[in-house]
Amino acid sequence: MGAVSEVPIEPFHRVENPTTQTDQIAKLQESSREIWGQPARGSDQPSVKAYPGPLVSGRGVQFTTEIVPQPFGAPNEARWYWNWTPNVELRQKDGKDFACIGVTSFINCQP
Amino acid sequence: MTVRVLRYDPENEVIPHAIIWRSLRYCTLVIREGQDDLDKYSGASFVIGNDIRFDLRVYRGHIHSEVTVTLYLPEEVRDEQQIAQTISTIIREMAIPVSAVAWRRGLKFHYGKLERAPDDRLRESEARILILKIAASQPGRAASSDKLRQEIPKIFDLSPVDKKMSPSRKREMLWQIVVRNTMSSHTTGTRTIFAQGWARKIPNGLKVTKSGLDYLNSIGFLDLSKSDLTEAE
Repeated sequence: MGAVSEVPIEPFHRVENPTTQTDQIAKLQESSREIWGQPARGSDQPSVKAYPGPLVSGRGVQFTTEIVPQPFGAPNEARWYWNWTPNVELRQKDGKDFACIGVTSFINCQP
Repeated sequence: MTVRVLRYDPENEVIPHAIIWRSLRYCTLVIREGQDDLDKYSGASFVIGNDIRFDLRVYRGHIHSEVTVTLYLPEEVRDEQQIAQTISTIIREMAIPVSAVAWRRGLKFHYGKLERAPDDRLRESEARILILKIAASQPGRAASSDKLRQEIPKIFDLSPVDKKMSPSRKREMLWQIVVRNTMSSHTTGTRTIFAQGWARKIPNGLKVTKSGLDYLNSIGFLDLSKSDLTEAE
């Protein structure tokens, strides 16, 4: 789906929010060294989504991964889809499917 | 074709395919707050005809989030040629200039980096629609020239070229000259908002007509029902 960037060596980050990036989730990410992501509403395709670049300010988490994001990202968003993006794994919890990527470094800025 | 505002979030995954160097508020007044797995966002959903569904969103963590909006298409739209045609149709039907597209699918990109097109600036053709939008957002659907000059920098990210001082009018920047020309000198041109009946002049300003509101409805800026489309005389 068109030209894409090379594998990014820069970190990615997620910003604290009350549902999908809570303090508790950040702790789980830190201890498991994994980032999980749910499907969008109405979709059955779980994905991990993150902003590119370091977490410059505010609360959230910053990570690096060896898994190349799905080509149809954008300069301002990176995505890793289970079943579409190589090396993304499937996790299940409480009957829900999650995409999962392993991280090579992780900084928790929402302790 | 008409760009209609949809009241509900899409019931499927949406994929970012273009980034427009214009604020969400520039594109539409029908903005709602949402949240998905990535983060919180402000956005709007639209349809052109029965087939082209798309979303404009700004996530708070997007780079240049104050001055850009990201265009999303349903994930089932995957053919690169179809994506390119759809993006072109959307920006044309929303009256967004091609120069405003900072990135679109098919162009190489680097994560976290986005640059405005060097030739993107306020031109008279865009200023016509911009002042119509601003006036339509004001009480009584009318705005004075001073109000327009005050509001434009809040909605339109003035480029370095726009901010250059005019060589002919030393106290004014180029964008102010563009707005002045749009308001005052071309009332007889066939494409002006006055000639098209979208606005009429009032002392030191303009007022949007019902026809103008119809037009803004047709490009997705407003979502007024027929009963709302009354011109307050």
